[in-house]
Amino acid sequence: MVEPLLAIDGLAKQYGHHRVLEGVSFTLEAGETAALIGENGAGKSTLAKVLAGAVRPDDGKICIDGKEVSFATPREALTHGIAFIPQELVYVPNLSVAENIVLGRWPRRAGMTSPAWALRQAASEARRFGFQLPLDRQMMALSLAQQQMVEILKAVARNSRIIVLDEPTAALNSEDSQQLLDLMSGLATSGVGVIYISHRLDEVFRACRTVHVLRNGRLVHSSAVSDTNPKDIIRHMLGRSIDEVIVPKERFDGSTKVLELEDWERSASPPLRRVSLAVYEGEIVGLYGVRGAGAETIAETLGGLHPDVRGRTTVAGHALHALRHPVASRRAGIAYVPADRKSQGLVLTLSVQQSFSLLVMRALSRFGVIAGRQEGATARRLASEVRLRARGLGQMVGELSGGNQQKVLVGSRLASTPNVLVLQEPTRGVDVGARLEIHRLLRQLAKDGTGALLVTSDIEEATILSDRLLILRDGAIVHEIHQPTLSSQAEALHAAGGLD
Amino acid sequence: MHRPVQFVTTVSTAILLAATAACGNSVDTSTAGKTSGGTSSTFKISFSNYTEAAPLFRVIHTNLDKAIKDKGADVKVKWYDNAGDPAKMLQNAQLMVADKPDAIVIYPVSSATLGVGKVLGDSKIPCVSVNLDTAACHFLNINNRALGEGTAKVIGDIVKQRGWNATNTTVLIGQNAAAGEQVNDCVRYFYTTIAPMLGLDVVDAASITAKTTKIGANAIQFDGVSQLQPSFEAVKNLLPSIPKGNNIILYTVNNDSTNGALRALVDAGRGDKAKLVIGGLGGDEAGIKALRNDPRWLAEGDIFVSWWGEYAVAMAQALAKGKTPPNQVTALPQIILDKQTVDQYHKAGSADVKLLPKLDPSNEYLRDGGFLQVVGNIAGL
Amino acid sequence: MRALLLTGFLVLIIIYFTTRDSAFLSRENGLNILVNASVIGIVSLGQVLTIISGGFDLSVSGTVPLGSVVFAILVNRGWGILPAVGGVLAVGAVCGLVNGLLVAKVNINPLIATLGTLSVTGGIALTIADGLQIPFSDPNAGVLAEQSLFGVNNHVWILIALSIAIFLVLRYTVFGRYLYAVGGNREAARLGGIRVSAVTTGVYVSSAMLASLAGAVLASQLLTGSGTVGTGSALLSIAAVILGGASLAGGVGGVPGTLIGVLILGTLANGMAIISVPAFYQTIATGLVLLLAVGVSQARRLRLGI
Repeated sequence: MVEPLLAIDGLAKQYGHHRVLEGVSFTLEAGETAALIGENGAGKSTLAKVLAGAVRPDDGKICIDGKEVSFATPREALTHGIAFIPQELVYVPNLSVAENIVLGRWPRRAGMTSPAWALRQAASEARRFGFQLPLDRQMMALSLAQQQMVEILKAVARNSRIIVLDEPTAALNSEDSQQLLDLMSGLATSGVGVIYISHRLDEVFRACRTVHVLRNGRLVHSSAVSDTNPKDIIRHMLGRSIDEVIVPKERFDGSTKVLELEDWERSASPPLRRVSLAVYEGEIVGLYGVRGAGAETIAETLGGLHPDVRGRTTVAGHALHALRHPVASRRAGIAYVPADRKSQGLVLTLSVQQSFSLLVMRALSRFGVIAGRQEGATARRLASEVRLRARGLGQMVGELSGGNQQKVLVGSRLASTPNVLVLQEPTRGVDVGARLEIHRLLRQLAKDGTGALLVTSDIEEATILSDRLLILRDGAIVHEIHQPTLSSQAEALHAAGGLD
Repeated sequence: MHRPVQFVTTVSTAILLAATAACGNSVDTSTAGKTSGGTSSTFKISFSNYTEAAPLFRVIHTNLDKAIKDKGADVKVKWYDNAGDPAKMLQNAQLMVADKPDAIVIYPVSSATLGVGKVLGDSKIPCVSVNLDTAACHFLNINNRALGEGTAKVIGDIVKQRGWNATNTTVLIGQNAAAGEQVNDCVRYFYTTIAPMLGLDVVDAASITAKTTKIGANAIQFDGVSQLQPSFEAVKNLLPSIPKGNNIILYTVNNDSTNGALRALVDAGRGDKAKLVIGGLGGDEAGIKALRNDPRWLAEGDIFVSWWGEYAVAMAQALAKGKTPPNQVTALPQIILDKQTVDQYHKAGSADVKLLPKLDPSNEYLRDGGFLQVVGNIAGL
Repeated sequence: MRALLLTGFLVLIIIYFTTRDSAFLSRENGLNILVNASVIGIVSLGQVLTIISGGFDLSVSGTVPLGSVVFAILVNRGWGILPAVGGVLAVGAVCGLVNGLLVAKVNINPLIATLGTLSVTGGIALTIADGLQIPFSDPNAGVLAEQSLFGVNNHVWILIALSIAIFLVLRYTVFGRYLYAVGGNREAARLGGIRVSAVTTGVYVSSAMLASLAGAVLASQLLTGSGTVGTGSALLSIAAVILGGASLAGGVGGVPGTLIGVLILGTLANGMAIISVPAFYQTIATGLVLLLAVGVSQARRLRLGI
């Protein structure tokens, strides 16, 4: 009997009184792709960090090829053949791709090294494993998808036999995600064991052989993917039954336009070519397209980030001068939820209450002094509207889970009772439970009459939430789907020029 | 708070305090604070030194402590460090007043002494101000003008024999504007004394000010801030304005400045002993050594800085006894040494002082207190 | 929590120095500490504002001497105290405006921008003073340093009043809230529609005005304006602010911590002078204390993942 590549038995870890992992056991064969699923706080990242050697378990065994191992440092984990690729990639932005690939394994002769040698070594490794990468460009010039490929190449070039990937497709569009999944199955074919941590059930079912579900630190389900279905998985994750991942849509029949774009043009890249669209009161309009097609550009322009866009914009009947600055956008009654909550959206050192009130300070103050009671009332109202789960309004936003942070972000934009909400990637990096709640919130807002423009790279989310789904390609709107359903995904993808 | 962090903090604090304790002890050996020991007849002085970081001033402290210990004098000195900073000088003045000593000695760091003078004056404690004047204190100082004049005479006599005159000579003097007008008297009067001896343009001393850069046709004044590097830079920059082939006479407010200037001149190839003569000021190790060994170094204004503490104590005692100094300024020991006389006052082979010059009318009264005799290193005592 | 720890440290220091020399723990000495710390205290109140907003102000090392010189000159010209202070504040405001423009509009890194202004303001201070000291012709003009209510000097009262004012601004005003937002995540503040350049400029103007005022206070103590004083203000004020719990990354910090930081540094300096430790050891000790404080706060931050 061949020993499994990786066997974990009874792994446990606790921080203070909090048991983060308890009695976790499973095995991984060579060439197997196993998905690790769980809500935020279920213990996935801790388990990953234990495997990566960054955290030492309090109890339990890790065996590789049947032999027990333990790691004091991540470097030791690497020498044992386990590579961990975190969600927030760690690389040296101003070094070249080649230099990042050979980082820590620089080709040396008599203590000296050279960029040319690094390039040569990286090139041979890329060739050997079938990776196509621009080796001499600076790392920071690459797209996120390419950067991830570099990380994976690093891992395989080290002859890692187990690769743990943490939410690799969270920030990728569907084209890049597919490329990554193909890469993963290629790795599996060559005998590498892959542990794939993700929220995306569709990818799990498409690309993984096994699935493990963590809930509250315990492994509550392990099975072959073929033996289960998404509804069951969700039930295991949440511990309760949910009939739908989908929130029902009310038929809307508003007739007032809250937002209208006419003949938007942009020559700089990514370009816009005579884009015109309208959003009505109570309607959610989805924009979908591959990266660079123009969807995110439109959202960003409405947020005041691209003053070079020409064309007419009307918000709630008022024609606007150019949206030169986020201040102008706010004044026009546009509430913009940026794509990256951590770097663009939230001030992580502020408290929940302070974050909710930040954009409406003028309304909550008199002569520059903040009206504390009003601020508290506003924060309480918003917290309950978004169903925030936090220790209290005074908790620092940086301490919240991704889903709750996203709720604070959306809530802060709602504080000003905007005319129109513009959202980018509203559920990126958010667990299933929170994603559901945010979807519910958005549909409720629609029902109450707020219009919204939604830009997302998650095609499923686009079809779930939109009353109308507009597809962009190369800077122009090429297709429109009314009342899309889950099955409209293929039609949308086709129109976007993505997968065929 | 997390235990490991608490632990680290406590341990580090302990280490820090232990370190300061060690430092405090190593400095504070023979003298003690107000609270520790000393009979009621012990004369208590609080002394704030210019800085403890430069050897030139530190030696005032160490020499005095050693002399008191070796001779068993019944004097206790509590030291403070002005660190060359006017604000610190003020703070130390407040602390010294709080000590309630028998007398206070202060070595001011700049002429920003008004505030200090107020604090000291209000306290009514007799005080001595060394080298820089403080209102409400009695002044103990060198005579900068005499240093300049004396040095000029020694050097002028020698180079006149060599035929140096207005056609072939440049006088290079280095001031320190920030130190105040009085400190720069030495270079000012150096020029006015040597100019007529060599036939150079004669000017009024008052016309040589902080802003002066050219004096007549044959002299240049630079500002070396009394330090090596700035003097080096300053002279380097003015080299083109010294006519090629001219003899150079170099004199500045202190030897650091002179050495910086010298280096710049040597670098530019103008250090030849036939064409460069130097007057030193300070009587420090560099100056005494140069006076003995460097053919260019013809005179050294020796001000015996290392023994200023002795005179400060004697003056402090005299003031505490109610004596009024006869002059505005009580003189610190000073003499112009040349190559023949240097060994009378310094031990062979080193810069250590073996004898101090005899007292003059302005500091004669210091002999009454007896401290000078106890230390016993002054000619004629 | 942090304030508690700092106060504990301060108490430890006081106990230590008292055991070395009982004269340390006296009303007179306590007043001495306050009197001496108030100059750096005023500068630190401005510095904490810039640090919370994510920048810092090195130019205070030049603005303090400039303030002292301007005050001395105005007072010697016969200006009354209040108008002279007004003049000093105006000069500070101009310096701060330059800093603000450089950082907010031209987008220069605060380190470089304020380093540049430092050379300029320091140079101007020396030039106006001709490289010399400017003594007050009338000793009564040093009224800011005079003792008044309860035997406490005027400028200590000024420090207390300013501390309260700035504390209130930081906690209860929109400007204060914006400071924390801009410091915590400049991009998020900008995208949220906050006028980041206005906030930034306001902060640098405030810092420079306070530094300039501190210079006037220092001149009142010395009864002299001087271009060579206060040159260590930048490092000392930044040390006090960081010691008090602010983060150089921005978004964190406050008045109570800063004041304790100032007191700790002032007590250390005073105590060490009383036990006759030479000044360079004091510099080492200050550096060690700062490293310790930064180390502790970094450890805490790493754990929180900020």
